[in-house]
Amino acid sequence: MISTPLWLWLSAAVFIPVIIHFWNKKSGKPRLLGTFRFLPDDTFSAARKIKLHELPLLLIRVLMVLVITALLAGIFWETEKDSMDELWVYEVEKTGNPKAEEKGNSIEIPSLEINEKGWWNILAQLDHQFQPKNMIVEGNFSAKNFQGERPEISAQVEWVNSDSLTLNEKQLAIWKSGMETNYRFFQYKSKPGVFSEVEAVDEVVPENSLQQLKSIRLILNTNNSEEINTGLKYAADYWNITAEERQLEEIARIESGGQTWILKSQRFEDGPTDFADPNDISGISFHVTDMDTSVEFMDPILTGNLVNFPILYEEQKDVLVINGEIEQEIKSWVYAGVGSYLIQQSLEIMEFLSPEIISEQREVISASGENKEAKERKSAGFWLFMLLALLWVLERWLAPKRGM
Amino acid sequence: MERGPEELDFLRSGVNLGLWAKHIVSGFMIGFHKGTRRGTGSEFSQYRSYQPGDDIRQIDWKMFARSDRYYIKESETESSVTVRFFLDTSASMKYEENGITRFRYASLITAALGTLVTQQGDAIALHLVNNQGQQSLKERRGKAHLSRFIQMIENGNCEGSWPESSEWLIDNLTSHNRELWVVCSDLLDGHDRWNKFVEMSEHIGHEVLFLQILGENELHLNLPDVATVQDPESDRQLNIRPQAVRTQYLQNLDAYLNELKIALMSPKSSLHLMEMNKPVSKALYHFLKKRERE
Repeated sequence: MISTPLWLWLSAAVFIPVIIHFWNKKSGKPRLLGTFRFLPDDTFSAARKIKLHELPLLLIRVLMVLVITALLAGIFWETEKDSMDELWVYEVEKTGNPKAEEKGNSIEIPSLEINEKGWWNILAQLDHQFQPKNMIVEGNFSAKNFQGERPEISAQVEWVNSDSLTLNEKQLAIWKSGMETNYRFFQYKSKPGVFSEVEAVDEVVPENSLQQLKSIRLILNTNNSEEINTGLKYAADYWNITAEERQLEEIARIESGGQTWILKSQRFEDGPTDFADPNDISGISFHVTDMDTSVEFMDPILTGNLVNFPILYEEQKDVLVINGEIEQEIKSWVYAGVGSYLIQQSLEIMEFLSPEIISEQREVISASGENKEAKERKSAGFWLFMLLALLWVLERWLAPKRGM
Repeated sequence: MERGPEELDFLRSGVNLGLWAKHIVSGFMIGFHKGTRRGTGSEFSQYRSYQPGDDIRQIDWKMFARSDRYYIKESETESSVTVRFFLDTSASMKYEENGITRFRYASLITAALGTLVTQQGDAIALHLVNNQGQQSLKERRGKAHLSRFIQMIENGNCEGSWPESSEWLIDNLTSHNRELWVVCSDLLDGHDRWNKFVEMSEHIGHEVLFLQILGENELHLNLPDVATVQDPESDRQLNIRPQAVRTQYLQNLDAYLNELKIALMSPKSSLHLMEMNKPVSKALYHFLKKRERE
């Protein structure tokens, strides 16, 4: 195979030594030589013999031109790449070394890398690199690690759930309600997906636990309308948090472990365009109940011209602002969701257990046969160079002997 | 004496050989050979009184004017020998270098020496020698004979080789005078033939001068990178790379020349090598100078 065939034109230069050879042979009119009989008989005594003697030299020179041409043209050959029968891909929890580690026919990939790149990218890369017939992938197959389109992979992929990595249940927060009872919010995976629950906890949380046991309570403004307080109390009930009413400037507040989280109402006569711009975090989605219903506030950009459209946004990290007039019929329901979101914020629940992507969706797209026949390109440069050096030495050795 | 370029032009052209031979020897103040006979000649010897019977053309009239007596001016002539030239006309004499054939070069040498000998008043004879049949010119003196001598050289045709036997020589020897033989050849036909020649001349009692004429290329094999060379006598051809064969060739040639020297080693014979790249005038001058010293 040739990488730059353009140089092949140079092979026409083989005619140069041939022409020189025949030019040299063309000795013209025979010259009379009275001393003819003193010419040695054993070497070069006949024209026919000379031809035989010169032929190797001519061939060497032609070969030299061809080798130089081949060197410039970048000759290489392709060999069948050794393909692996099986490649084991392990997801490992590593914090120190985020690089993938190859061990024989297995490779360890840190979770961090999987989180960054996603399984599809990693598998496509491994498939191209190792050309395995089968890939056995063991790890955590959370939906978040399967972004993007499924790649074409030539290997057969087998998925093995890693018990050590797969969390079937995750406790996201633990708190103490006003009734001196501890509750926790946790998620667990089940066939249909991930479920969230709040339940009472009997056992004592160890002191060194990552999650601090907080004492948390919801305080409502007594001046709130009944619909608002009904909705907020619904949220407090869901989270098993004590709710009490008091005179407040804001709609509600949550006191949690020395921190206060506030829900305010704010009216802008000119509508949300007065304070919202595309860079603000102004659209917040929240689940009114745990999983069945949700109200998603629209992006203010889209609602820029709708003056009376309600909007919920975070003024600060711990201040939630609701703007606009919410219709009476859904007011309690919306405030239940807003209250729930505020409680979630105060419990610092930032991430949730991701649902596992089902095995049917993990099926890769079978690649065409082309990938299977991947070949390795090996340059002939080194061998050609060695051959050229050898030919050069031969040429220099022969030429003086032939007088050429 | 520096006539090199002109002479080469002459050799290449077809200008009259006799004229050029005369031109060459006109510069020489030395003769070809020494004699003891007094008479007319180029080298002054003595004056003697006129005696009846002397040719009145020999009277020195200037001396008569000064002394009022008849004196004959005598020179020590270097003659009384017949110089017999053997000019090789074998095919190897066709060898050419710088546009000049060996035969042309040898012709000029023979013609020049013939002219010189004639000027000295001696007889010259000529044999054009090859095995296809010799041409001979018997020994005579005088300018007319020199003209025939030169004419015969100019008509010489090179073919065949030097005869193996010397019988032809015996048939052509008619004079019983002392003779000096001059052989102009490349002397490449094998030293045996020349050895026989020397033996014969010794037997008869004549001195032989061998003038061996070789080209620069023959002596050094200064040919182009690749050359096709042909044996003039056998017409055999070879492609050679001089660079590759030079060493062996020179060894062979040196060996032959040494053998030849040994073969011709005799009190009455001498060998002189003349290279064709040197002008004839120069070569002859050196040859005659050397001969004068001997």
